[in-house]
Amino acid sequence: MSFTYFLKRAAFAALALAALMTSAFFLVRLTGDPVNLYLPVDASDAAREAMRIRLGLDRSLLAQFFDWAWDILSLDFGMSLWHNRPAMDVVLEALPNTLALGAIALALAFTAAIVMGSIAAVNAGGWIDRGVNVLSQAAASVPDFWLGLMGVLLFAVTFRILPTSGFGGPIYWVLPVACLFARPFGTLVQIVRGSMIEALNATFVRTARAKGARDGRVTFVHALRNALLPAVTVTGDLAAQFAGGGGVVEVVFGFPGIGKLLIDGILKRDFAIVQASIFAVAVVIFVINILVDMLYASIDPRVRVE
Amino acid sequence: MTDTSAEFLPARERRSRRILWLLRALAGDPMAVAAAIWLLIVVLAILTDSLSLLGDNRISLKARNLPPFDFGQSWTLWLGADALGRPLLVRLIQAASTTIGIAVVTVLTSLIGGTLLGVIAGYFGGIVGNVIMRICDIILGFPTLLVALFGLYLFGPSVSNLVIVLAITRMPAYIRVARAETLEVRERLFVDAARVFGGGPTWILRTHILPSVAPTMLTLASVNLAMVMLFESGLSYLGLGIQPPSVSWGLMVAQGQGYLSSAWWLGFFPGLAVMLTTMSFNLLANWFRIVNDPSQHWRLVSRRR
Amino acid sequence: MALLEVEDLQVSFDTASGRIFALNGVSFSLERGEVLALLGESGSGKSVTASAIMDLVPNPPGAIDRGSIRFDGAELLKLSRNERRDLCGNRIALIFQDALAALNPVYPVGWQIAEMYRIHGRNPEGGVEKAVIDLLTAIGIPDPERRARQYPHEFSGGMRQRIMIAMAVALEPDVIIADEPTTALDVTIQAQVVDLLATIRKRSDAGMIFITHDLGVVAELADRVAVMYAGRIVETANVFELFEDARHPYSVGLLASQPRVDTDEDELVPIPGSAPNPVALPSGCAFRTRCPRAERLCAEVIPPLETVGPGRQAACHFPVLTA
Repeated sequence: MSFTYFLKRAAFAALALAALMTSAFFLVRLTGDPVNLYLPVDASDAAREAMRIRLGLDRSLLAQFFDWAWDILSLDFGMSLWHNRPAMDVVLEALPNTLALGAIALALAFTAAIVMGSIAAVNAGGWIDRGVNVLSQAAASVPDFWLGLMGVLLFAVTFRILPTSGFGGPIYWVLPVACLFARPFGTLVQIVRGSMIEALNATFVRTARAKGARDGRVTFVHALRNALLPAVTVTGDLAAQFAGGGGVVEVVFGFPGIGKLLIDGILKRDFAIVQASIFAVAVVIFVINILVDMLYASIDPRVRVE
Repeated sequence: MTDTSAEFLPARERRSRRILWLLRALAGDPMAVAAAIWLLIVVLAILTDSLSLLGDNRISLKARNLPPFDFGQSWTLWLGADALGRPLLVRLIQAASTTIGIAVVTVLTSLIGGTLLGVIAGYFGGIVGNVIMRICDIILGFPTLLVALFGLYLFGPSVSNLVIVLAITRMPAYIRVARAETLEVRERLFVDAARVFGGGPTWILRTHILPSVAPTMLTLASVNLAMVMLFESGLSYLGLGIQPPSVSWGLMVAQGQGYLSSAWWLGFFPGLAVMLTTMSFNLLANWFRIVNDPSQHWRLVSRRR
Repeated sequence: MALLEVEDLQVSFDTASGRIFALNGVSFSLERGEVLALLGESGSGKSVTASAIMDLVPNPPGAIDRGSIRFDGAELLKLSRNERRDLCGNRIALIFQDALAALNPVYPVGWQIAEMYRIHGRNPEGGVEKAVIDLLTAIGIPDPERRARQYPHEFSGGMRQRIMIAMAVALEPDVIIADEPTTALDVTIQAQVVDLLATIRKRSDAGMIFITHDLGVVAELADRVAVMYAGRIVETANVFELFEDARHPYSVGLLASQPRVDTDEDELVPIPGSAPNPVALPSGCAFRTRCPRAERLCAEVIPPLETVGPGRQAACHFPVLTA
């Protein structure tokens, strides 16, 4: 983990963010009416005109761009129209909730997938394997928002043991975590199973057997450590996807995370919130990428030399 | 070595042998059979809908929130009716056309666009290739849902915007794969030979590169169908995808949400349809991959599994 | 009683194009202190023989259909899975062909050698760590304390093969099976590894099965040779007899197709045709389609492995007689 590596990563993250935001800035101004980003579609013409002047849309495109870019560079993302506070403050309040939610769901999914995937791989072709395959395919295919609604229907409406939505003690986390768990779990089981079967057929596993290692040792000491590598990569990708918030799931449960904030911001046309959320997500993804690279290097010695 | 001997058969016979082998391989995988049957049902349902064989779909106050599994009613009401008394089964089939139609068009768009851009980036390289690849990196650097949400926010929700936004978020995967395969094929001797014999770039692309790239791209497309369906459902559920009066499975779940405690079937069946269809695409994609990988063939035919 | 006795061993695999018989009744024996070379082209069943002895035949798609493997008086095929594992590494050790693939990429080599002691619960004098360092020194790895902490990818091909060998000999096994240990190496490194194996051979009284297609290595290391073709042993002889007076037409062809320094003939004669398709072996003798001496009988009756002289056997209806 050298300093140049860190700089390279940071430069790319900054570049990607700049490219996304800048192209969005110009696309909106060139193809449509930016006022639409701030006002509902049915806003009155007077309100539109007032907003146009307030945003300085009557000035030249370049002047607007430099103003906007300067604000972003000085980390000023503007005031949230709905919360009537600096947008970044609102985002920073929501961010920890999303990070915790995503981390818990992913950690559970990763652990469960390692166990189930290994069991399936060891019994490849048998009925356990088929069962795990159906279960994981179902988990990878289930729409998370629907799973959430069905969870509410079953546990909150019918049995009344869990809250429908809202935020508070641990009990409010059960359903959102369960819903976010499903898809990464299903995906990871497939990955772990595949890489585990590959590892179990690798020559170094034959060596381990030839050395006299019994099945448990062969599976968990020799094969699993190698099979973890693809699973870690995919988990990193999933973590980056989750950084955008548990998106739809947060909306279903009214969970105050960055996904709900962003989607509400979009539906309520609160541009400052959208802009600040995307910036925060980009920073989180940058950190996640570095963590995953470090984790990867600690598992695979071959990465270290590069 | 039956495969080598098949090389000498006339093309028609070889093809029928290939189909027989595929059918035999399919029979060895009950899950894939189930998936194929489900997709067949969905396709048939869409066909009956497009031929308007479905009977009426009018608002009927008598049937408001009619519960499912009342087999005394007309078959269209077997899955119940919605808040306006419209038969749920008919609505589901209409939504299937939208949901699957959008998924197929999106995947075709990103497949064709991604393959072309990837082959261009791989074959010609240079500045153009670099620019294409950097744009891919940027798109992949953000969560797919975030890019899609942002795109729909900027350009407004509509069917064409939905297709474009989803296609663009999925395209980098195709571009990367197509570019990698193209680079590899380009380095191989026969393309050099083709160049020496005077084949132009288009000829080389058509006869050498596209055929080598196609199988991988199709496998990728079959996996992506499921993914795109899930994204479309999610976006439509949020109200950023398909807009009423059009109907899609995700939108139906959103519309049923308000009746969760009184009419659970309104949200249950459309979501189940998404899950079964996504799962079928996934299972068939899996099976497709095994069929295309000769080292896995024994799994499909061996008795001692 | 021989140290290791393989009798009538048959191993088959399920493949997409049908069932193939990788071994068709293989029999041989190995004495203490002896080096037996299994010689043959790729696909002749040499490596499958090693896998069967080490209980490494993947099942499915492979299976041992019949036969017996007796080691030190015990029938291996009747032992439980874990009893087999306890013998492996401990009393029968295997050296793989491709050390880069055979060593686990994510563990240091010292750890992998030490694992031998740990698996079998051995406590060498002075501790496992010292034993590992001593082994690395003995096989000629400089700076063993530092090298033990390095990973397989940080070693050269020859060094890796030495580490494989160190691992195999760590617990002083009774039988060492070397599966083409030099094939993946450069010629100069090959010679070093062969020298190392020769040294080990001199120092211990272990029996060694040396699997190879390289006649030069056979001449250098082996006492006795078993020539394999299409899943059968077609000739066994001591190494001098084989080189001077091979009886099976396949052995004769094999010798004629490789350069030798001990004769004046400078013309190499390749064996015509190619190895037979294992799914559809020719009837009778599998070699008959490439054999200059084949007659009608060869297509009808599979020639049994018969004694053709003191301590030597051949499976041919019309053996070559040079004398």
